[in-house]
Amino acid sequence: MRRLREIDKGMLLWALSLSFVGLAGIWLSRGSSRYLVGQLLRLILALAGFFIFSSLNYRKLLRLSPWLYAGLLLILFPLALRGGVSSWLKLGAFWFQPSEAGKFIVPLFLVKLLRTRLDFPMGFTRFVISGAAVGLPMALVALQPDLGTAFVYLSFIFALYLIFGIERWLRNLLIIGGIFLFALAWFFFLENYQKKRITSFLHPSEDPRGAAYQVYQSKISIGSGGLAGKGWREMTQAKLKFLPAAHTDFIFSVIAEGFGFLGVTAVLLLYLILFYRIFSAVSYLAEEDAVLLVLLLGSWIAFQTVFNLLIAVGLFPVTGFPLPLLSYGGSNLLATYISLGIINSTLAWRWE
Amino acid sequence: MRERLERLKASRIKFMLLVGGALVVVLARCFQLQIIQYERFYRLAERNRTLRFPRRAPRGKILDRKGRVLAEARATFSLSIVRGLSEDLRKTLRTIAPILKTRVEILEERLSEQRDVPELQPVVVAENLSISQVSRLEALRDEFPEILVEAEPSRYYPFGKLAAHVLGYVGEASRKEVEAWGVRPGEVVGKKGVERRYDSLLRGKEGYEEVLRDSLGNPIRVLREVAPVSGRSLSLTLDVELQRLAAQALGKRKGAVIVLSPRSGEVLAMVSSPSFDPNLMSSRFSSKEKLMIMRSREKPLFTRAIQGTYPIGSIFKLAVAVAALTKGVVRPREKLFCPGFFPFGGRLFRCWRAGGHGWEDLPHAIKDSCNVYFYKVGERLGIEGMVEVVSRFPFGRRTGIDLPGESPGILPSPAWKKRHLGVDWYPGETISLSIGQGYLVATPLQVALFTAAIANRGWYPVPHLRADLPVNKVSTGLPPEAFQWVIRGMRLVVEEGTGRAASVPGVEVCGKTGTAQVVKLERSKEIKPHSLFTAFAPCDNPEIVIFVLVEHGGAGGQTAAPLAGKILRRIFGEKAAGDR
Repeated sequence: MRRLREIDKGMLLWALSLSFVGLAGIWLSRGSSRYLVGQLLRLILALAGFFIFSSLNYRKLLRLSPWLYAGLLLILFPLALRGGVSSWLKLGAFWFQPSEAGKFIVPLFLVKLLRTRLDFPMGFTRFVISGAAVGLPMALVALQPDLGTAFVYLSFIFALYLIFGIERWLRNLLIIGGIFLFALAWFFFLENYQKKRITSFLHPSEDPRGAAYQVYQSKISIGSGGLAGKGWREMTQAKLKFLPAAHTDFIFSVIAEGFGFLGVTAVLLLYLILFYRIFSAVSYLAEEDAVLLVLLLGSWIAFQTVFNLLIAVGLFPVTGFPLPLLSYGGSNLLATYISLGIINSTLAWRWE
Repeated sequence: MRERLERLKASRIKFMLLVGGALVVVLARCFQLQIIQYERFYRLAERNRTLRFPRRAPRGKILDRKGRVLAEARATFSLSIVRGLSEDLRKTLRTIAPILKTRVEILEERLSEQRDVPELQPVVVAENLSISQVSRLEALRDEFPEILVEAEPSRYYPFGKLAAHVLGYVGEASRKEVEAWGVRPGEVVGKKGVERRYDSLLRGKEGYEEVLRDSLGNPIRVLREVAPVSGRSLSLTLDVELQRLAAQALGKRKGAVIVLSPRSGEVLAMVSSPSFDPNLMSSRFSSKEKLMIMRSREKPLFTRAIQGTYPIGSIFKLAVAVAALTKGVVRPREKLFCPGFFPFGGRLFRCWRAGGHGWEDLPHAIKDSCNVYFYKVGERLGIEGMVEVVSRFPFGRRTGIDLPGESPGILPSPAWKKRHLGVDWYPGETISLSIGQGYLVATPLQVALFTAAIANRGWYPVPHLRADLPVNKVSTGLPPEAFQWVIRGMRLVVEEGTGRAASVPGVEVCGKTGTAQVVKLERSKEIKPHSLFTAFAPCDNPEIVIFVLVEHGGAGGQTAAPLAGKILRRIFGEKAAGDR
């Protein structure tokens, strides 16, 4: 418990304030205390997760990480095989999505895997090893099928590229291979509704009531919020159910409708400060493992946040994942606070 | 090592810049949506929260020629559901099902049938609610904003089955009708009879009410209200009393009765039997009774009077007689000998009377319906000569009555046979056609109109049911003298021939019986021929044309003629009483 004095209380404060904005958004979109109380309970549970992982020595977690990783694959495998029946596991009174646990287990395992290979830039072997370590659980999640969460796993590859860079020939190969894989997926693997989301993004007028409908209504919600928002009684978009998934994936649009451009600015500012705190935590660390771990954990939260926002404002095709800290639901909230907990663990245990 | 750590740490700047940059992009986009394009999105959001409820227009009344109401709009209550307003549709249905005395599955089926209706438009799920149902449902409105109890002017036909084929019935617009007529999905339109033919006149124009809702879906205020425009009422030429008389005369027998005015084309009575109850057919929902009507083997929805095509037997001899006199192939008083048979092309064509009729002139040949006389006349005419004259009469084409679904019938000719059957005309077929046999079929209305052409000595009117239509004469261009001798024959038919049962004391009735052999392909017990009788009266100043057809009724003089007599005696009995 002594360790908890060392954590970044600012980071926790900003994360908590975002969570409270989320609670307000849930209240605004559902207008029912049932959702609010449920989410409050989940928040308390997530905070417990934060403190537990903050006080655990991250080095211990790194040592355990191969076992955690193996356990993750073991749970994801049957879920992928059942193919979409249910990607949820029951933990006590709560349902939990195992794919969310991968968001902090995969970074731990990656750091453990790469600790002897930290040269610049990334060569072929390291790329294949790390690619496989991310790709395996990612493929299993994609098979569930939960393309939204699988998409977020890409953040780890992207982060490694940002950190280490990559040999030029490999980069070119990846670009060509990526285009090839996309074409392959398009013609053989993507379900029709998934393709529709992409085409409707490119040609919104083709299907005004279908996949483009969500984005269309999201834009109406945001735009009609104006400068200062509509206030509780006039917030028709979410409450008259024009905005689908208002309290989950599109919570940002609800807040934009209710609080207007001023509210949006405040929320974006909160995120900006939070990510500044997360990434600047690196400068206090003295160990390569810890630095890499913090960057990887921070990257998925930032990645998921940015893309959720881009989807809500209609700048990216609908992919379907929650906005970290704000959206209704427990799994992602818990994964976020545990990841923040591990980041703080690197601060708390940095002197040992 | 140290350098590597620093380089690792330094990459945090890239992360910060990327995240910061992306958040700025999002902020800029929000500025665009919320500040620059605010007006547009505000309007779109307002449109989302505006509900438009239809206000149904009462359909116009349908009246008979004396102003008696045949169809009217009755105030009833119906229950609609606006699916888009529902929090938990199943729960709503579970709550209202017991009040409506139905099952949830039936309501769900109804809703899924009406998928075309937009989410925020009402779908009627129950009609003809009782007062207690209305009050119980209204009490639920606070909890379930999607429930809508509407006062609906629904269709009511006070005479039920009587004149059902003329009036038709109404129902919700099909997808096709929505596209073709521009009506709202779920709007009630005419489906048959004059309800369909004069739908645009009867329907009126729906109004609507636009309501602004707050964020809980509760109406705040009415933005706009457009009152419905009632449909116009429609007067028919039909006489309900006569219609009832004709329907009662026909009774349970299958067939048709048509009474019309040969001068104006006004249809006074048009009975098709069996009939159906248009009140049942106008319900939105399928009931046991409705299914029975639609699936019955007797086809009550089939309008025999204008859709049924029947062989007309000896009645056609009148047309052949007119043709023969017009073409001059026989003189009116010229007697031809009937030995009871007529050899032609190696075959023996027989008269219905085995011993023959001996020497007969044209009026007597009509009176006795002598086959051999008309075989001989037909041979002299040839098929081309016969068709040239007969095609002036309303055979083989629609009469143009203001009812949908009329059938054209068939007037055979060598050209027709070549086109439809791909084979040449046999000379023997001319002989058969002379007495109305072969491919010739006509609707009861066509026969009645043909009779009107004889009664008028050469012209017939376009028949109609709407009262305020002008008389529209069609001339055959045939000489009036040709008709005089045919009418004399028809007079003899009723005075002393096969149509005696149709005579009316004090009135000169002219008629002709017909007995149409029925070729049944399927095995059936009914092998009796159709019984036909057509007549007009009075002879020199025709006011009434009547045609009676009884399916499998036996000889024309046996069933159809007495039935026509019954109706004619009532018509002229009442006229006489009225004149006194």
